[in-house]
Amino acid sequence: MSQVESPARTTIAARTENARKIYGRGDTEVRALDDITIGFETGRFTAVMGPSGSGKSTLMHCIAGLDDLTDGRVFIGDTDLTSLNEKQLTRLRRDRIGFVFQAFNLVPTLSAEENITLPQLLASTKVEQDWFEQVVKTVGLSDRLSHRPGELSGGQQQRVAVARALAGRPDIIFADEPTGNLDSRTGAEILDFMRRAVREFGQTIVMVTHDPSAAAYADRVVFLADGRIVDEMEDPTADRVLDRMKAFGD
Amino acid sequence: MFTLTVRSLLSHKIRFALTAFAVVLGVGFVVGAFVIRDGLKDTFDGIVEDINADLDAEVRGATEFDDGTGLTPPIPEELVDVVAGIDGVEAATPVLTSFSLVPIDAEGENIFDPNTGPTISTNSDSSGATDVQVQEGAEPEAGEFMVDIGTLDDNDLVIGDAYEVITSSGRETFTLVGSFRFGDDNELGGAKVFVFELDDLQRMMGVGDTIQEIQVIADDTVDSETLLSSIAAALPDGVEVVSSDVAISEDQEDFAEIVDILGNVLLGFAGISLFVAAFLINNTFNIVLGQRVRELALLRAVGASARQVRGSVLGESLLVGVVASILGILFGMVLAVMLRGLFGALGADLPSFGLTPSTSTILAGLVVGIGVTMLSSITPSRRASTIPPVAAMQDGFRFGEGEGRRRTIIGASLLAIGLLGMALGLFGEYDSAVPQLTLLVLGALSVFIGTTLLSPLFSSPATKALGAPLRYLPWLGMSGRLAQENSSRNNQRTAATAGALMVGLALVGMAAVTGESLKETFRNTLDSAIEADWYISSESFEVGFGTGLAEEIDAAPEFDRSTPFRVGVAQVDGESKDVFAADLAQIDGLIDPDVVEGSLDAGPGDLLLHEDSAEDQGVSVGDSLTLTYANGDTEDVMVAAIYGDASILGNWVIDLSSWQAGRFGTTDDLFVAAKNADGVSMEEAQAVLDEIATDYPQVNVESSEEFADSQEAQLDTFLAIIQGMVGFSVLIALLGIANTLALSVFERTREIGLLRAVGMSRRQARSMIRWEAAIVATFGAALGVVLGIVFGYGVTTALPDSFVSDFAVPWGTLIVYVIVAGIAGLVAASLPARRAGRLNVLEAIRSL
Repeated sequence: MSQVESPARTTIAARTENARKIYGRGDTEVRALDDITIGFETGRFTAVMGPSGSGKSTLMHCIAGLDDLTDGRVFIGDTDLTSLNEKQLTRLRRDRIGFVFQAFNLVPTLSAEENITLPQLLASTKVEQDWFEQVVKTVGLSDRLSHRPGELSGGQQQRVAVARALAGRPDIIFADEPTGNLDSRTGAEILDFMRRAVREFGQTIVMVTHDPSAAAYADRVVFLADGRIVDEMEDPTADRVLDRMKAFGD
Repeated sequence: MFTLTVRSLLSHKIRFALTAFAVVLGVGFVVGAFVIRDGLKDTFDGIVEDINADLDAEVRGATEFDDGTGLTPPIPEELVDVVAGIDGVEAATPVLTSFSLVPIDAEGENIFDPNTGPTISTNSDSSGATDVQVQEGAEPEAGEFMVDIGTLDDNDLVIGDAYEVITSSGRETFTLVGSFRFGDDNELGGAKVFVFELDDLQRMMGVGDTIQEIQVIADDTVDSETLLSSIAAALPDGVEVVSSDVAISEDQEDFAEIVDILGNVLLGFAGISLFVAAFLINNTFNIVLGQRVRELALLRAVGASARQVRGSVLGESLLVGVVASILGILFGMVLAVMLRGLFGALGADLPSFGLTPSTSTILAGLVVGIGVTMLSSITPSRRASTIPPVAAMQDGFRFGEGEGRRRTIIGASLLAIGLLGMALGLFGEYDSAVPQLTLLVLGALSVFIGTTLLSPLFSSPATKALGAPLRYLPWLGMSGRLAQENSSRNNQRTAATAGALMVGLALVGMAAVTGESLKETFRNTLDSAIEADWYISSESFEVGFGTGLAEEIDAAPEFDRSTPFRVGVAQVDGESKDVFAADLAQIDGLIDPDVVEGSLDAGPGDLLLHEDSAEDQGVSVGDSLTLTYANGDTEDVMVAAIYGDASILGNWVIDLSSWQAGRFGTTDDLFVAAKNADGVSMEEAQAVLDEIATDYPQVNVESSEEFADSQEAQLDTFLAIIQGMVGFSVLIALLGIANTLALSVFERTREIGLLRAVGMSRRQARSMIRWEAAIVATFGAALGVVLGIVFGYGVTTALPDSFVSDFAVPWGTLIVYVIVAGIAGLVAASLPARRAGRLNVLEAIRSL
């Protein structure tokens, strides 16, 4: 049951091999990631769940090139992140990874449009106009492009963040509690956009969450506890996820 | 509450350091200025006391008024015997001193450097009244001389060798027979001292059998009052006796005046630095306050009163003030050492004066440092007390709702009051400089504060416009765009940060505009006023040269006409006037002073007068005025011409024949103007002048064009010194920019973390911060330069037309200033930029 299954016809967008992340030493040693080997298939929406302190955020940071492992390896496609220097990691994040954070996703001094194309602006590369318009239309921001983040609602801000993650057609998008700061209706809207991005555009998304109803939007749920993968579930529903979570609690 | 304040400070060491830094610099400059001033004063006082070590009284020519030269009219040498014969006098020693005799060293170089100090020649003295102690060899007899040990070493002079001395009447050869030490440390303040036998000295100076003064040592058989009165009784009219205390304090006052001027200049610049520092402290406290809203609101929520919150902010500033002032005092001592070294490097061999700050200096440092810090934290502390408890629970509390209007009104009022104050200071009539300076300084401060308060109104569009070109720099890309946006996102902060730089640039700009106007005026008047082909002037303004030079030029057939110029002080109706003396018969054809009435056809007993002075005196051509000279002589002179251009002649010109022995402190010439005879080329004339000038090492031979150039160069040097000193305040302002950005980087941790997470490189993060600094600096500099032009216009309009009549703006220079300021901002922000680049992305993200 804890075996990682990877269907032969799909490719892996990102994976870890025996990933370990250890903080402190001796008595105070904390194993944030304890020998995790996992893959995220291209074109799928994966949710990573677990109680706080389970290591789910650390896992995401390490795969996304924001943090380094104590031991083991991380790949985005065929690229071994543990062999990259700081500069290469930055470029990798810019060109091949998309991010959606819980809050403060946007640069307050830039317009919505500039925020969406920020990675391309930083790279001084051209934005694919057709794609950009399609993304903007999908998230429903066409008439808000010149607004500053301060002039947008929380839900609109998160939609801009999702649009930014999609705009660069990254290999993989990492979303860290993307609906944590939103009311349930607006949150559902965002999750719906993310699922559509996977279904319609074939985007790969990994989302860290502790909300079972959010996890229900995913194709697959991975459960973490104490730095280990303890379970996973295909085609989850909110109730099944909640039951599973309760089981951990016991 | 106090414990909390201390804890809060200690837990934010960087914040503490950044706030304190500006205070440390400001206090340091104040303390440094005081220490230098006190040290110099002590040294010169010491020299004066050494000179007069065992002196009991001084006999000298009486003067009606102080002519500023410190020299008294000569007295007959035979008075020495008269004084020596008086009961109670143990010894009476004649004293004669010249500043214009110049010995020549073995290589033929004259031992004279106008930059280090005067060349003093005096007579030998066996009485022991002064603190001259022979080190080697013996006191000089006829045909011999001795020299102080410092000069002996510096110029590789050899005792026993013969050296030439340039005198007012040619060269003479003397044998160096000894060296002496002056006082304990040979502290001469950069002067070079040569001692000759009295008769030799009188002959070389051409003063006949006169001396300057007689130093009297008492044998203590009579009390000093009796001694003074019996000496006085024996003296002829025009000669007086004063006690040594009077003589010493007069000399010390003369030095004190010079030292005070230097000290006041240093203090003035220290004041500017402190003012700039106050801007920074205020800005820093405001920024920090913004970052502590939650913390302070929490205090309110758990029961602290608004008063207590305000108190905690004031308490924090008090702590910063105390610690920074103490550090500032230490820094000031270091600065004094450095300044002394700088003087030394420039050649002014300052004695190793004490660098320990006096109690009053330490007190001044503390008062100024703590005072400025506390004053600067008044507005932040008021703001702190407006934080509502609920801000602890919710985001989005903003300071100063409704502050904007009040700010604008206060700013506009201060600007108007300041401009009015400056106008009153510049154009009003005052009996002394004190109310005038006070109005000017307070007015300028008010203008600076007013402008800074108003500048948030336009800082955002201005910085946006200034930053706009950055978007088109291809290598900057997004960093430039973000820098532009960041510089205009917080208009008050940008305004305050730029305000500090504005102050310095306004002063530099004002100096540049005034200087350019002066130069422009000078160029125009020189073109029209100089008809002479040559200007032969002294390298050092205080020290002229012997009259022989002018006589030789006058006698040379290559020159059609020439006249020496001297400058001294005479009185008219009890008011002292700077008076030029020249051979009036020769003026016509050498100088064209733009005669408005009368003619330059003048001679002995005539007076040429500037129109302003003529108006003051209510005289016109043909009227007479009575001049009183220092020795009490009076002379009626007739106004022969009234002229409009004072650029070369000054306001009063008398004939050389009025310049008689005793009337003025010096008989030296200051400069000579000469015109070639018909058919004599400049080359031929130059050769003759160079030949004549070989015996006058302290003079410069310049054609009228070279003269104009060198005058402009002098003005440039003067401007450079002012700008160098104002530069300190610019330096502080730049540190302020770095400081603000460091705090902004801290404040924007999450934003920068986000940018880094989505792919901004370290390099891009660094240039984003640097260019923001450049934009803010350019804004501040541009604002300052605009104010500088306004100030400069005021100054040039207020100065008399005889001094400045044209208004010229050195656009090129000003633009360069602004660009340099921008680049300096770029460099100043290196540290915060590095911090932004090094930011730990993960930690920044975790706080998302």
